[in-house]
Order: sequence, then structure tokens, then C-alpha cells
Amino acid sequence: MLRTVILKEIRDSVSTLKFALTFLVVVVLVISGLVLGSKNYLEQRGEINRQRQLNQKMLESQFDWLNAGWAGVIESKKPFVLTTVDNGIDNSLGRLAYVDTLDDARLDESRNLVSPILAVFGEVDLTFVVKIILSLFVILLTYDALSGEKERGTLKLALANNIPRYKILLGKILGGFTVIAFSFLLPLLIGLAFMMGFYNEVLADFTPDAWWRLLIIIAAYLLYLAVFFSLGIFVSSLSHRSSTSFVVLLVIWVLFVTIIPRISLATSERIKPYESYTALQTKAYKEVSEKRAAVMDEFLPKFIQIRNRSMRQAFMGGGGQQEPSTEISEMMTDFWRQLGDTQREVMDYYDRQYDRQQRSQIELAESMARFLSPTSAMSFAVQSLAGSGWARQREYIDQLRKFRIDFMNYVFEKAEAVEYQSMWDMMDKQKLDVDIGRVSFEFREETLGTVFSRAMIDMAVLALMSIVFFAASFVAFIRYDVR
Amino acid sequence: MIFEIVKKEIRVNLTSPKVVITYAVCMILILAALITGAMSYLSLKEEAVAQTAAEKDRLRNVFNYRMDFMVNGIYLYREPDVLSVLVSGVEGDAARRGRITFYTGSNFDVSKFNSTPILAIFGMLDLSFIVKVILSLFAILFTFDAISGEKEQETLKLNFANSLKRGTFIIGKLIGNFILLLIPFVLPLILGLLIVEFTPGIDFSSDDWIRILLITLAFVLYLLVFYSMGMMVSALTKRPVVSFLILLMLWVCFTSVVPRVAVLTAQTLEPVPPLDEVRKEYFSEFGSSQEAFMNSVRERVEELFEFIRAGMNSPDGLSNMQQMQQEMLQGIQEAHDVFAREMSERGLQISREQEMKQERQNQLAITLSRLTSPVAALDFAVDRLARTGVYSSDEQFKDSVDDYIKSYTDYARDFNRPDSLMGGQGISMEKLDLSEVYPDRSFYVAETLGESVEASIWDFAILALTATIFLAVAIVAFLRYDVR
Amino acid sequence: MLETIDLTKRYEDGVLGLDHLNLKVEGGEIFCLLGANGAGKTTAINLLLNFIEPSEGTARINNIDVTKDPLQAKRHVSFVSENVMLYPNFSARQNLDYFARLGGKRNLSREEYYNALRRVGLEEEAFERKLKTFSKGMRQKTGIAIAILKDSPVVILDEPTSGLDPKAADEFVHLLKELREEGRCIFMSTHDIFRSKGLADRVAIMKKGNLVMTRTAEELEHEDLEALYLDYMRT
Repeated sequence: MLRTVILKEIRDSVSTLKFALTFLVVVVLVISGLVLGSKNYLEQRGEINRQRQLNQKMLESQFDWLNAGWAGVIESKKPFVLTTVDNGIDNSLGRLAYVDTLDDARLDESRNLVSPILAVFGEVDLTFVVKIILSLFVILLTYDALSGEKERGTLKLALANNIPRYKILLGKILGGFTVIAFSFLLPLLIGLAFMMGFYNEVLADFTPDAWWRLLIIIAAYLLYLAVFFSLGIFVSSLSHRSSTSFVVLLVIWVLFVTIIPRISLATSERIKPYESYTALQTKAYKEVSEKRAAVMDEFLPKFIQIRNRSMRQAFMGGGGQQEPSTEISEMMTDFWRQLGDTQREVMDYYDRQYDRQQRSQIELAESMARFLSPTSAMSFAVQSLAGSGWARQREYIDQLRKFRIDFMNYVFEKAEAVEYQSMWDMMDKQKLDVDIGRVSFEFREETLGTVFSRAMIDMAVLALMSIVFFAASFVAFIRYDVR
Repeated sequence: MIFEIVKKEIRVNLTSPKVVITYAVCMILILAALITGAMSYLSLKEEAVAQTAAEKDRLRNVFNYRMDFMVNGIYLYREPDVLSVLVSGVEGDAARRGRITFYTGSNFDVSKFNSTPILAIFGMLDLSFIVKVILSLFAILFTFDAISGEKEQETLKLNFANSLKRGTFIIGKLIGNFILLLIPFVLPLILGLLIVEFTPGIDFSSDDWIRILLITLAFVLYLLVFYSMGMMVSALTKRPVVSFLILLMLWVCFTSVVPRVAVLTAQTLEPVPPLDEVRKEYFSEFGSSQEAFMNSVRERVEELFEFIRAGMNSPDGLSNMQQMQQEMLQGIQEAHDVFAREMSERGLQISREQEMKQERQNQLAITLSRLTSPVAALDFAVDRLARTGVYSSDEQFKDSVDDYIKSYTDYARDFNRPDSLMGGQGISMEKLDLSEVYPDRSFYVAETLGESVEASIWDFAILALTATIFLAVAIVAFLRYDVR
Repeated sequence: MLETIDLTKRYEDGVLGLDHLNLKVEGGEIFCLLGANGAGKTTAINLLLNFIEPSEGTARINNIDVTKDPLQAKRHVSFVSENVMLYPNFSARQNLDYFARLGGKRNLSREEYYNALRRVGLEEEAFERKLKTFSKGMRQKTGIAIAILKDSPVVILDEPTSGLDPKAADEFVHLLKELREEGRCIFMSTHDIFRSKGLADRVAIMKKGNLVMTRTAEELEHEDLEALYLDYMRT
């Protein structure tokens, strides 16, 4: 009996125009999304090697090691392979890492600045297809699940048989969700097959870790669709007219997908405002300027001393010549090192302060959003897993900062080992032998465990929402007036 | 007769659950958007003002070392435009702070998203977004069954069993339903604007009001596009379900897919070399120029020492030596400034070239998406009129800063503090003359109304044309519609 | 007066919906068109109301060619469809008001609307209730009230008694007879053989687009209409 209902549900849904149209659109968008994501990924990945070669050459062409430190290195952020599936907020994040001895390590140049039109619903990737298109399809499928059958008179007909109410609903649910899962998974498989054919190199970059992440992402997608599905059935079981449930569901969709996420931000900004980064930077910069002035004060007498001695040497001609030593290099390097350190200490202090404040605001906004909007919960989970959210960016910047310290140590190490006789020798160009390994940044990805534990709460929220709505629909349907 | 139909359209829908729910949602959202927009504007403005004051303070007290001034430079802050209350534009993505250094020209390194990713994660809820996404969806909701729905409920037949012209009927429907759509937009808008205008700290000039009027007109035209699209599809189909599906797909297309494709096409047709390559190019040149400069300095120094050694044994040799040393150092200073100035200009030139290429690509992307998606056309018109779009936030700002660079570099070049490592008799503790370096006037020159209108007129035209075409098709389709 | 001359409709897929229909109904006459589904009854009505164009022949209302001057022709006709749904959010009176205005009557008072609704037997408390709460019978009555209010010489009805209970159907028949006494020309398609016998002045049977039989009321007194009908259907 149950099987009969399930099969009828499946056949009934699959034979509609809405299924055919949606399926077509989903396949097209999934493939284009994967292609786009792959191209971007390969491009960015390819850039990195080229940039490393260039970095080395450019550093070697600098006047001396200190100048090389000022020039620094520029490298593209290493993309995580799953950004092909979910672009997340990556378009708004900095993609170019700047590391030098003068300034803080930073990630700048986001894509959105270049193409600002992109940002209404985000990049057209797999998440977009699920978030927007499939959720709308689910609504179209479920809004008349019960009220429609009542209007057509088939509900009465079904119940005039030896079948308990809950089985009818269960059959509808199982049948309906099968269709939905199918309309997502099949295009996904087609997409993956396409990738195997044309973008195999991207698939080759999938570590076992990445495959597991992908699996969990797919589970998150299905949970997301389950929420909308259960919601649709529930609303349909509350109203007797399809047109009403339709409008209600559409408005709820708008609320979940577009409004609640934005409102949570606005609200948490009011509740937990914090000084913007620029404000803190201004304060920091003032402190840095003062400290740098102090360093200058300390070193200037030493410079003058060396300069006078060098002048005397030059005038005296041959007599009293110094042996070439690293004294001058050491002093100069020490000067620049101190300048760098003062800046770093100050910036670290302000960064930590900023981080704390920002984190508490983001956490508040996230909590509001994830419990009120399945779209937010799903986005958070997927972005954690795909490495396309703020978490990985923060981790990247942290590691980049540590790398900057290594870079500075390397440059200064080399700088202070240079031997000069007098200050005038500094005007000769040095030959720089740059070890590419020490000026290239290697990022360590977060582990599956870390990432999954972050995503778990969002997935639990999605599961809970579905269960609640399903339970509510059962209750509502038992008392549904079928006449 | 038209009047009867208009009246009926309004009355029939006014009490339907569809209208009640959407009206409530619009009312709340539009008011909320305007109020939060006002609050955002006020806090951004406060911040910019505070930043500028802090920067001037710093310049007054700390700048006494040449290197800091030349290498680390100064910061310039831009205040947000008051119309960002309605349209936040790309405020999140664009620069609000510019930095000028002697050697590298202007830099724009602050993106709100980079330092406040929260905006990227959640997105901005402004009036523009509500119209663009939500009201357009409602426009479709109001119209998808306008014709096909009456056919389904058999009232279409009943209407035309009378002496009723088809044209009359469709035009009455078009007018009536559009009024229904405009009400939940215009009423809260007026209310919200009044609330904002009376908020302390926010002042709309008469110029601003004209812009607001034009922005509203753009919004109305935009809604007309989706409205007429809905009517058109409803008049081309028999069943409301089919019309809704088609319209939903079109909506998703216009809001997401089409703009993406336009950008992609532009990127393919007008590729831009990545920024890192360009900067490296600069630093390589810098390296070799510096080498040349250092060589010439070394030569001069050697010359001087020769001269001095030669003249060491003459009686007035010592005093001559002092003078010669002074002159040499002066000479080195000048040569250094020439070198630095050249590198600065070169830096500016390089970034200008890069920007021009990027600009060409952007222009192409803009043109393509404007022509193919009403969402993009609306975005550009409205961002331009509110001065919060890419042009104002980015280009206009950068232009203003670049104009300012001239006075900065002129001052820096004359700023002759001989405390460099290579020479100087002592360290000068004199402070900077702030009035020259950081004048009190606002350096930011905003676009005039005429310029904004001229730039956005094409978008108005595109929207109007699209709406006209859809309306025409809707009317023609209805004239031949099967009313049975 | 209502008239068709060689009225023919060939659909795009080649099906002959109506094959040279010739009939004439005068004022003060009730004409019933019987036939199976798809026989051409609704096609005839659609042609008379200019919802579709004829392939050949003419249809006339009060001597005005419906195809050449539809707007004028429709001044003189009112229509009651099979499924009267009307505007669900409007009350009975509001629906009446709208369609009365469309029909050219702009200055009717509320009482006049109520009177029309009373005449068709609608209960008072339903006058201001929304149509979506109405049963089928109530809707049918409202549909007829609309037709009555237009006060047109010709009234066309498509399966008006389908789904009505005997009492409501009886009231309906009574109403139609009243309209006939007022001199109107009444043209209706129906499946209700039983009622046609007591109601119609003339009855015609259609089969596959053709008018295969006509009988007057007198002739029917001596013949069994049901048997006749089934006979024609079988062949």
C-alpha cells in the first residue's frame, strides 16, 4: 500500500513540466558552475608557481638585501579545491598575499571590486543551484501537496480506502523527497562525469580529505532541501487553498534566503558594534609612527658616528683602514629589524583586539542567522567544509603573518652578513642569491576534524528544522478536513 | 469602461491573502532598510571624520622624519554620500581610504569586506536590494495569473460576453494592477524618507532630492519591466502554473545568470594582466634605476674626496672643504629627488595603465550586462545617481586623490630636510606645515547632477524600452488570446 | 432573435467541430440543444459569442453579424457559463455590480441588485458574502442574476442545470419560463433530457457537429425523448 503511494508520487511529480524544466536548468547550471569554478581554480593554482619564479628573479634584481625586503614577495592565495563546488564569499576576499619587511602581511585585491555586479545571490556555483533553484523547485512541488489533492478531489478518493492517514502522508514524503534528491544527485553525477572528461586535473587535486568533505557537503545540501520540503508539506497541510499556501511559502522563501541573513547582520551590528579596522589602524599607525621616531632617535647618532668615521677614512686615504666587517650591516639590519618589530608589536595588539570584537559580532549574527534561516545554516556549513568562508581566510592570514616573520629573518640574516669596509661600500650593488624555498609560502590546510566540528552545529540545525516541520505536518494532516 | 476595469482589478485583489501578506512585508522591509541605511551612513560618516582628525593629529605631532613622510605617506579618507541611505552600492567593496606615498603614488588598500568580512557573509539590506530582488518577485507574483488566472476561473468568458473591447480590458488590467504594485512601494518610501530627513545629522540638499526623485523613477521603471514581463507571459500561456514557472526562471536568469555571463564574456574579450605582474615590473625597474642613481652618487662622492684630498694641504682648504661638502650633499639630495620623483611618476603611470585596462574590461562588462539584464541596468543608474557605485566610490575617489597627489609631491619635493643617511649636518625637528600638506578643504570632488544624469540616461532608456516592448507584446498577445 | 446560417468550424487539427449548422430562435422561445460531449454544443455557443471565428457561415444576434460587429451584437446577449465561478473575493452583489456596468447599466441601486438576487432565489444573508463561500447552486443563481440584470433580448446558457439539486433545478426552470414570457429568446445547451421536455419549445439533438434531429414541444408529447436520444446516439 505504502509502496503504491510512493510510486504514484514519483510518477506524478516526474511527469510534470516543472520537473522537466527544473531538471534541465539544474543540469546546465551545475555543469557551468563546475566549469567556471574549475577554470578559476586552475588559473589561480597555476599563477602561484609562476609568481614564485618571478618573486625570486625580482628579489635578485634588487640593490641589496634591505631593498629586497622592502620589495617583498607577492603570491596568490592558494585556492582550496572545493571552491569549484562552493565559491562562498571568496569573491569578496583578498586573493593576493603581500609580504614585505615594511608592512603587515596582508591579503588584498578581492574580485568583487573588479566586477561588482556579481553580488546579488553570489557566484553561480553548485551551492547557488541548491540554495536558489532547487529550493524554489521544492516549493513548487510541495505547495499543493495536500491542498492540491483536496482541490482535485483525489484526497477523498484515496482516503476512501483501507489506508491510514499517516501512510498517505509518509508515502507523499518519501516519494516526493526521492524525486528531489534525484533531481539534484543525477545532475551532480553528470557534472562529475563531465569533470572527469574535461577537468580531470582538478579531480586529481582531490585528496581523500577533500572527498570526505564533498560527501558531507552533499549531505548538507540534502538536509537543506529537506527543510524546505518539510516546510512545504506543513504549510500545504495547514491551508485548504493551494494559492494561499503558495504565497505563504514564497514569502517564507524570500525571508529565509534573502532577508533574515541580512537582518541578522544589521541587528548584531547594533547590539555589538565595534571600531572598524580603519579606525584601529589609524590609532595603531599613530603609535607606530611614535615608536618609529623613537627608533630613529636611537640610531641616528650611530649612523652619524659611522658616517664620520667613513669620511675620515676616505680623507686619510690609505691609513687607518678598517678590515671589511659586518659591523655596518649589522647596525643597518638591526635598525630595520627594530622598525619592523615595533610595527608588528603594535599591529598584533590591535589585531587581537579587533579580532576579538569582530568575532563576537560575527558569532552573534551567525547564531541569529543559522537558527532562523536554513539558508544561512547551510551556507555556513558548506563554506566551512569547502574552505570558501572567512574561517580559512583568517587561518591563511595567521599563517601568512608567521611566514612574514620567517621571511624577515631570512632577509635580515642575509643582510647583516654582508661585509663592508666603509659606509661608501653600501653604494655598490650586491649580488643576491635568493633561496626560493625561503621566500615562498606554504599553507597548511585545516583538518577534516576541525572543519567538520564547525559545520556540525549547522547540520544539526537543519536536521532539527526538518524533523520539527515533518512532525508538525503529521499532526496537522491527522486533523485535516478532507471534504 | 477602462475605469470600471481598473476599479475592479484593485478591489478584487485588495483583500486577497497574497496582497495582504506582501503589503505587510514591503512596509516593514522598506522602512527598516531606510532606517538602517541612515544609521549606517551616520556611523560611516562619523568614522571618516574621526579618521581625518586623527590623521591630521598624527601629521602634526609625529612627522619629522623624511622617510616616514615619503615612504609611509599620508592617508586620505572619504566620507560616505548621504544617498547611501537608499543605495549602499559598492560601499562595502570599494575604497574609503586612500594612501599617498612619494615613491608609489596612490594606493587604495582598504576594502570593507577585507576587514569586515561579515558584510560579505551576510550581504547588505538596502532599499535598492529590496526593489531589485523582493519587489521584482512580488511584481511577478501579482501578474503571473493576471490573464491565465481569469481564464482558469472562467471570468474571462463572462467579461467578453459583453460589449467590451479587448484593448480596453487589457489596458484596464495593466493600469489597475500596476497601481496595486506601486502602493506598497511608494507609501513606505515616502514615510521612510520623511523619517530620515528629520533625523539629526542627515540633510538632503535640493540636489539630493532631485536625485532621490530620479532614483525612485528608476525603481518604478524597473518594477514596470518585471510587471510587464509577468503580464506578457500570462497573456502567452493558458495555465497560471506554466506562466509562473517561466517567470521564475526568467527572474533567476536576470538576477544571477545573465550578469555572470556578461562579466565572463568581458573578461574573455578584454583580459587584464594580473596586478602582481605589474607591481613586479615596477619593482624591477626601481631596482635598476636605484642602482644607476647609487652609482652616480658614488662617483660624485669619489670626486669630492679627490678634490678634498687635493685641497687638504692648502690654507683655506678647510673652509672650502666644508662648502664643497655642503654642495655635494645638496647635489646628491637633488639627484635623489629627481630619481624618486621619476619613480613615483613611473609608478603612477604603471598603475594608470593597469587601471585603464581594467576600466576597459569593466566598461565592457557593464555595457553587456546593462543591455541584457534589467537588474544590472537598474544597479548602474541608481548607484550612479546615489554616488555610491563603482564610479564614484572608486574612480571619482581615485581621481580626486590623484589630483591631490600633485600638491603632495610638490610639497614633498620642496620639503628639504637634509637628514638622510648620506648627509645632512643635523636632524631637523621642525614639524610639517599641515596647511600645505593636508588642506582643510575636502579633496573629494563629487560628480555633479548633470554628469550623473548623463551617465545613467542610457539605463533609463533601456528599462523604458524593455518595459515598452513587454507591454506591447502583452497587449498584442491578449488581442489574440483564446478566452474560452 | 438568434440565428445561424451554415455555421461551420474546422479546427487546426482538422476536426470538424460544427458542420453547417442552420437554426433560428425567435423571441419568446426556449430552444434546447442536446448532445454528447464533443458533439458541438459548446462550439456553437463559442461561435455565437465570438470567442472563436467561424470557418464558414454566419451567426447573428438580433440580425447583427456576430463576426463583423461583435461589440454591437454582444449588447443584446447575456451569457451563463457551465461553471459559474466569478470573482471569488467579491460578494454576490459586487460581482453583479461589476458585470452590470460592463453590460452598460451603470446606475443601478443596491436595492435593484438585491431584487435581482431575490428573484433568482438566493438567500438574503448571502448577498454580501464572498463568492468563494458559495455552493454550486448559489453560484448558478448568481450567474443567472447577472444575465437577468443585463435585461438583454437574447440569453445563452451552457449546461445551466448540471449539478443542481431537483429543487434548485425546478426553480431555475421556472425562472427561464418567466424570461420567455417576457419575450426573450433563450438558447441553452444541456444534458438534462428530463427537464428539456417540460421546458423547451423546441429541442434539437447534435451529433458530431451535425444537427440530426429537431422536435417541437407538441411533437414531444407523443414521443419518448429519451428513447429518441439514445437511438440517435447509438447509430
